[in-house]
Amino acid sequence: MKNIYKLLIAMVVLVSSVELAKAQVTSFSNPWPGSTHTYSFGDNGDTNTTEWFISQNADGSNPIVGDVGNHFTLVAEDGTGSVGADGVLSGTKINTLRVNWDGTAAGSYYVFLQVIDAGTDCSNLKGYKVDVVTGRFNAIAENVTGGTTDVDNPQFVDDSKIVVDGCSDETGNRIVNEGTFSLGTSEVAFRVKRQYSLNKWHIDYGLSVGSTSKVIAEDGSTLNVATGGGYDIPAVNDYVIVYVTVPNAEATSQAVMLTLDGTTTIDMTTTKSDAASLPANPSDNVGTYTIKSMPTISSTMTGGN
Amino acid sequence: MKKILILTMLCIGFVSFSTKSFAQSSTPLKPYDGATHGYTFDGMTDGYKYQFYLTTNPQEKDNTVTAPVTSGILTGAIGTVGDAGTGKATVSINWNIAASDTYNSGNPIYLFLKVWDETPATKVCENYKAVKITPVANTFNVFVDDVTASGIPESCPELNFAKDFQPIIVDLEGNNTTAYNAGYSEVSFKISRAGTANAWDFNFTIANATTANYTYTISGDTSGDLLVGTGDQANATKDVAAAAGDAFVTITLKVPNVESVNPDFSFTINSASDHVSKATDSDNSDDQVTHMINILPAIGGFTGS
Repeated sequence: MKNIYKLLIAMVVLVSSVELAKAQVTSFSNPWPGSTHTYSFGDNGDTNTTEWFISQNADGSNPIVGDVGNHFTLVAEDGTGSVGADGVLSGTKINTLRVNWDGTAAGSYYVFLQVIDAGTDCSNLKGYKVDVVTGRFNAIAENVTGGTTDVDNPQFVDDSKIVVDGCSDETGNRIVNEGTFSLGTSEVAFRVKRQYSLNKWHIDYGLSVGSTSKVIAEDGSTLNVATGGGYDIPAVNDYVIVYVTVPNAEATSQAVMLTLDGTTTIDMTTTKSDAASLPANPSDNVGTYTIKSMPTISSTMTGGN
Repeated sequence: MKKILILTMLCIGFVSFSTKSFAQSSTPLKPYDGATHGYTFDGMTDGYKYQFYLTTNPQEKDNTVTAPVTSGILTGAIGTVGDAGTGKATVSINWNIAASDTYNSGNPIYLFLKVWDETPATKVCENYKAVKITPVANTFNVFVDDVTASGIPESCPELNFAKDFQPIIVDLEGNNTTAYNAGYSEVSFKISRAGTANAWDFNFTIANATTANYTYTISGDTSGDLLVGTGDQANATKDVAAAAGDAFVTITLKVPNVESVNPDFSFTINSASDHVSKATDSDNSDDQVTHMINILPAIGGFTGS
């Protein structure tokens, strides 16, 4: 390949990775939806009025009135002051603002501080540009079978113990002439985690074989199936563990796959779906564990005298 | 029979004046208040002593009298004939700015010249002559007003996007790379003439009581830009020549906004004159204004988390 093309491709990759790198963790300049960050301008005088507001305009016009569930929530770090009907958090000597990006904020915003001199009423204004990570919500499904060995804390995973395949669990009543015969079941575990969002989220998925026995969130709570199916996951959880029970079978290996539904797996506040986010990455929506085949034993015994 | 000794009287010849006469302008015999004129008598013999003196007494012989109050100030009143040219004696009179209040056509003042010979051996008598002078009221007036847009002598720093104001600070994430700029404020003074339609000129001083920097532009009403002062200024003293079509001249100071600094300016007209009639500023009470820009309250350095 000509060197110029190699160079262009390298540059495109570099730019994309820089953009992606900016979003890898939530930060005050590139916050994830649902995150909370602080913005502070140093000492602004002991008696001067401090007014904080957020606008989508670089000239500070039209401050956004931020209510919970709207774009964001504003509160002073020291708890003083109050937000007026005009969206301005006003008080004295409030040097640090806490912004909870808990709403539908998307795109670029400017966080402004206006300081008003107590004696002359003259003002000064400075702002900081914030680019909210927008349209990137990503859900990832991965096999963690073998790593969930702490029965007292089923939400913890030791990643060093994960295996991609294994023999079926030896369970079930194997006595062929007493009771109900059963080859038993194997337990498989998957982890579904999110990126680029700290909001309440929802997952839907399908299983290639078996059924869900329980879903445990990162904070240890057990989640129930949501109305309409799937699971609503509280904002505090970055992941859930899905435990799947698979009936054992003879003479066949079973590929147990959990596949996320990219269209209905969403950030519930911004409503952005995994499939509609950029970059589209459907390949990280599937987790796979293989139950290896076990040899057949006939269920009737012959012979013996 | 008594011998009548007729002694020679010193000759004093013609009187001439050092300024041209224009219709309706200041002349030596009808000087405007505040004007300066030269008066020369000739036809005398070099080497004799002379003294000019002002008096309201048309028969004043005492050449040591003091000029009446509010008449004029004589420069070079005492001398030797010939110092200013063969046969000449010259004096310069700066007429008081309110001379015509007391001395005018109804109450004239006289400029006398006495000539004498100090050499006792020569038997030459003294001589004296005079001219009648009637000062004329000068209505030429130059005055200054503060015409800063705020309309008040103490204004707030302007935070104006059309005047370089850019409040968003540069951040390390690259969300904003445009440099922060506190912008600048404008202070304007208007210098107007009255009592003439001629070209005129004036000398001014801008005094700056603080460490504020500024640049300035001077423009005539019809002449456009007359003078631009570049670079940082502490104080500035300049001459301005305005055209006949300029009823006023505007001086605009461009003052960069600096936190915790309050620029404090005083503008003074030091002198002014009618370019044609040579009339000078008849009223000094309206020759000074001040304007202060209040302090720009500080906003400290930014941190986020």
